[in-house]
Amino acid sequence: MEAIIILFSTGIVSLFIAMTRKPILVLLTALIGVTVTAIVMSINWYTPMQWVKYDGIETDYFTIIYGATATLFSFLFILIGYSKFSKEVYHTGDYIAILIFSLCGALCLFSFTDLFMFFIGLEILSIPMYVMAGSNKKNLLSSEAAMKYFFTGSFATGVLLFGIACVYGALGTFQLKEMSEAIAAMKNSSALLQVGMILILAGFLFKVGAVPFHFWGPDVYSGSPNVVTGFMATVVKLAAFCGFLRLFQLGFNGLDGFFVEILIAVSVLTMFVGNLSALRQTKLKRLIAYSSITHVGYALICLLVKNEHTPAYLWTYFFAYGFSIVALITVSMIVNDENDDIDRYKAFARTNPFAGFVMILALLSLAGVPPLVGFFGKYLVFSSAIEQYPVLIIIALINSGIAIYYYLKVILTAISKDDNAEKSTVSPLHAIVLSISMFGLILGGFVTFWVN
Amino acid sequence: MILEKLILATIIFGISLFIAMYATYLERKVAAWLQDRVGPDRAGPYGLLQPLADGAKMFLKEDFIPTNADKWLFIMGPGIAMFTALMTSAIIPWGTDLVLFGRTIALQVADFNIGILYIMGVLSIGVYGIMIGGWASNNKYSLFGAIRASSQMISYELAMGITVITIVMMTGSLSLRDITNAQHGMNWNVFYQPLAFIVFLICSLAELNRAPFDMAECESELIGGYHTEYGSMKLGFYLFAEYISMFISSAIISILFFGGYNFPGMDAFSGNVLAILGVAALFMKIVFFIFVIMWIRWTLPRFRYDQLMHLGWKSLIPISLINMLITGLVIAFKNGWFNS
Amino acid sequence: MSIDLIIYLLGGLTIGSALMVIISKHPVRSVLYLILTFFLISANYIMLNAQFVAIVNIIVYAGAIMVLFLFVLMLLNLSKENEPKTSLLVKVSALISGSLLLLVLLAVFKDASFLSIENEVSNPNHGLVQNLGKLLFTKYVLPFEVSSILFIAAMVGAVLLAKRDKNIIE
Repeated sequence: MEAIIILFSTGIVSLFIAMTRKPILVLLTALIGVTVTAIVMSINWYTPMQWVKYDGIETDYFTIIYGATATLFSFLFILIGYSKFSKEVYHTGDYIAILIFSLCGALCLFSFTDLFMFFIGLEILSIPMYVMAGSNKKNLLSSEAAMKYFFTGSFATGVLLFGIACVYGALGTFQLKEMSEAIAAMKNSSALLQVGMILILAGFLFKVGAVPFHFWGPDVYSGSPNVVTGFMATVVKLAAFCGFLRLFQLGFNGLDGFFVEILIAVSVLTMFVGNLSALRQTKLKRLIAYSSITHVGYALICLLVKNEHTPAYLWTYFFAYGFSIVALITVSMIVNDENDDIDRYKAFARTNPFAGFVMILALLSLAGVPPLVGFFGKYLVFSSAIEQYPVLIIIALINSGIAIYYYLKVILTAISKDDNAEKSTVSPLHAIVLSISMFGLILGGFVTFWVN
Repeated sequence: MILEKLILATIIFGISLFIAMYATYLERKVAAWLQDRVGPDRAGPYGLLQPLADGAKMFLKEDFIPTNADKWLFIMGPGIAMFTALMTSAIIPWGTDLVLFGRTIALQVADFNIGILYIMGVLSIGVYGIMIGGWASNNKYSLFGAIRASSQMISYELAMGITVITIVMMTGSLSLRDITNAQHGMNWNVFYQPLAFIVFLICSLAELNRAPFDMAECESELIGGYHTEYGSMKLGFYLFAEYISMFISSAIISILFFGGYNFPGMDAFSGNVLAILGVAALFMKIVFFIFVIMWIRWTLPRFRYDQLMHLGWKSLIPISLINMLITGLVIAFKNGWFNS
Repeated sequence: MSIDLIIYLLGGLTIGSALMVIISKHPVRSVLYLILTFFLISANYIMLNAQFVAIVNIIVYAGAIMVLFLFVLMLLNLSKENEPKTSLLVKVSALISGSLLLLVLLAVFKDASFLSIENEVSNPNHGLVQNLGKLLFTKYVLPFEVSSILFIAAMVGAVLLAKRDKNIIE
């Protein structure tokens, strides 16, 4: 809670500081605010603070780990985006503040214990994203992305709310704890509750972009400004997954199993559709979009196996995935190409060895190659489910194999020879972010061991 | 019981129409007086029958609908305007209880516990009459008038709502009856909230689309604004609705800031005498405010559109917000901060 | 008994006018029906003794948001001619899936045992502003305050998207 308050004040202060028309001050404010948030959260780890007492929010260890991860990624994305944000002096504060507000929503989703905070958190997370998707006003695709995301997103919110209403009608409470108690006390399962849960599940699948509800994904990802794409792929996905995992684990705990079939089907479909579509993509951000759909398919396996380790495995997965996305988005900012063609990255690793190296690392980590952090994520998720759902894991492994093909294609493009290729300039901020994500990619595996 | 309310509602309806009718006469007389003219003086003594003559003229004119207009909406527009204008009078407390034939009659059609919000709600739908009429006419001047009117009304509703909140904070109730009773005698809100009163008055003028805020129908630019295409009694409805709203707004200003039916020295009276004197006091205040609104119309020139928006968003809303903040602080201070 | 009748009548009218929103060909008429729907929903709220929610629903939705809707529609001047054509396949599949959803929901709601909250509804005071305010500022103060983040984000976003930049001329 303290973290949310600090973040919110940071957002407001950076809005006001933006009136000086000095972007660097805004950046510094935001970075200081986000750092203070992270420090406060880590203090919470040892001695829980009790400034504000409300039973709608509860800080546990996973809240802090997830919160720190989301804060770290937001920090990196603000750094990456600064070169773009500072070009429009009048709006620098707006962009940064909106990203920070969205992070506030993510923090709500990491710690809610009743459906009020869950819904408000989800909305605080999404609405800034609708705006940011359209923030590149010169580009028609960006406006299209914002419109699509907003319309489909608000429809999904409607479905989710209807589901919540049904669940409330069946259980008569918004508190997660009371909900699971009410479910445990029920003699025979109620159809109203099940329909409500299915509708909530549909809302969730939309928010993370799983297959029957994935159509907004590629258009929104490719139309939005690069930083926003990255933010959506990491922080928003992490928050949405965590929020719904909390809801299903804490709220619907007594009701295991009745939508397992749905989840399995969705997971398999998501993997295949994401992968097979990604094979034919020629643009980097569309590729990222489809590959993120695939990764959602893998991560859905976590929701199938619900035990006390699940949050940790899910966290590891998104921690690993996030660093890859950060690196790829930074590289795409360095290349700075309007069309975003993969051909444009030809010989990139030769002209910019360091950036190219990190890019290759990121792609390998996405593919799940052993020493890198991506491997640990996949390993933990798959191994947790192998006993219960062996066929599903085999399908997931096959898909990982398919995925290597298109990741390798990008890597090959990046290291191929091209005499006309020019060296792109890497700004110091981007270099910092690249080195951080390099460390994350290589050493992240140890962090995950420590956490687990 | 229902019969009583029905009779009361009918009487109020009649009075509203009567006052609106004679407000047109008053307006022309005031205009004439301010411009050093005589004004209407042909129909009856001092031209007192002029409103009747106007009404007869309106009824007898040809009732036409433009070819390309959206027929149903074109008819609905003036209807909605009139309907919303008349709806507000239901919750206005006209006086203290009257005892007739052994029965106690409350001089108020309905005492909602959300009275003041009801007024805001009805005001906010008042826009539709103008918008629908303006759009259905299929005329660009009408559309411009309608759009100006609606954006103006929405903008000024905000500041208005915030000033109303200050009054509600002072009274602790949303019911107009309670707000009136809290201003017993000369204990009127205007002495505590002069700033809120000024903001509220300006916003009422804007909500009424009256000069200096009559952008919606400014003759020199838009011919007649949203009612350019209207004639006959449909036009009459629009004009009439404006005068009825003027009457109602004056009543609301009197109730919120000038004590409604309270008057100094009211403790000396009781029973029916008090009720009748209270009604008289309220009506005197109402007529005074109708006069003030007319006075402003014939004194001040019209705003330009951007000036109007600047005034609404950049002056009135901040002023009313600060006023609300100070009021809240004072109330918290009086209640011993957060102890209560 | 008569109250039941009123409730059914109101419910039927609400559904009817909501259907008209979809069926009407002309966008402006759709919006007008939507306004009517909001009024009817407010009437339903009043039947549930929630006067405050009812009037706020009218002020916010019917009075402000729908005016902006009308505003945009009137300026765009949409008509039947430039409505995008949807193929028959899409229409049929939409019809089938929509009907399936309706069927499932109807089947569920027919036998649904809603938890009884009669006691709260029949208490005439529970929808009053005072009670609502007390709840909002004590028990639910956190969601209430946190929603301010949502609103400020939305406001900043609206300004960001809507403000015309000097360097974009198109």
